[in-house]
Amino acid sequence: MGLDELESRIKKDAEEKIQVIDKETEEKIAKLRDEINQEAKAESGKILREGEQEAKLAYRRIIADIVIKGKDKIEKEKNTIIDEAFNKTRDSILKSSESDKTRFLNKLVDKDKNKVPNPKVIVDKKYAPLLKNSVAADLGDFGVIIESKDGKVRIDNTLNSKIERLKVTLKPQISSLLFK
Amino acid sequence: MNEIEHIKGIEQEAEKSIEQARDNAEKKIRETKTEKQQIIDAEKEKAKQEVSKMIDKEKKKAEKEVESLSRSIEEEIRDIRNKSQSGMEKTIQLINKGLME
Repeated sequence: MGLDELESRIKKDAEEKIQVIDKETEEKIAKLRDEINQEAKAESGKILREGEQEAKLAYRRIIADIVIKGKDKIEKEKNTIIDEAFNKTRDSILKSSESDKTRFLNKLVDKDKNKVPNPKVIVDKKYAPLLKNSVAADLGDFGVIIESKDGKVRIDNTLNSKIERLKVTLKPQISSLLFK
Repeated sequence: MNEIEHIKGIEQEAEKSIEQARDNAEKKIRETKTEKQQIIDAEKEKAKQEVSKMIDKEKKKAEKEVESLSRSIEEEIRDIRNKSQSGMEKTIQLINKGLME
């Protein structure tokens, strides 16, 4: 083997080795990139899946909120209408004639007088002249309070108190009349 | 003697080239590994932006639905109010009866 041939052989061997190194490097890098892409896709896929759920949840939350607010608004409107019915009734009583008011006061007394021992009937001073044998007081409301003389038993039949009690007991019937 | 020296020089040069190729290869692999987190972070960022768009889209969809639901609620309230008027007289009679009892 001549010197030139030897030199050429050494160079060729080196080039072949370098080619092998380059090829292996490219393969390693390609494999690495593939792994990186897979990992990146897995991470982004997780974010997208969770994000999709979050987006759907955001939609449902907004809709649920308006549905709840809507139901609340409807309920408030119904309560307002019921209050209006009570207010109209109260107004019609307060605007009724003196004789009608007297009849009403007497009914309120007669209804519960027997339930109270030694009863005294308390009426607002404004309405006291309408009811015989009543005690005038500053009730600030139409109606009567029937109280035993010792103060142990007391039935509050003032208009506001009766209305507040009726709002509870009559609510199903009133709702049925107004809203069905 | 000169020939042997010459060949040795050629061999050393060849070794140097191979060593250089190895160094380059290691450098490329190191760089690829360093890029890993950047690539993952970029993909994650892209996904987050996509999620942000999805949420905005769903919110806009919900807002349209809210407008429609709000109109339905207002309409229902008007209906309730209108229908209640027909039962108002009977309701007042019922309350009056209740007050007398």
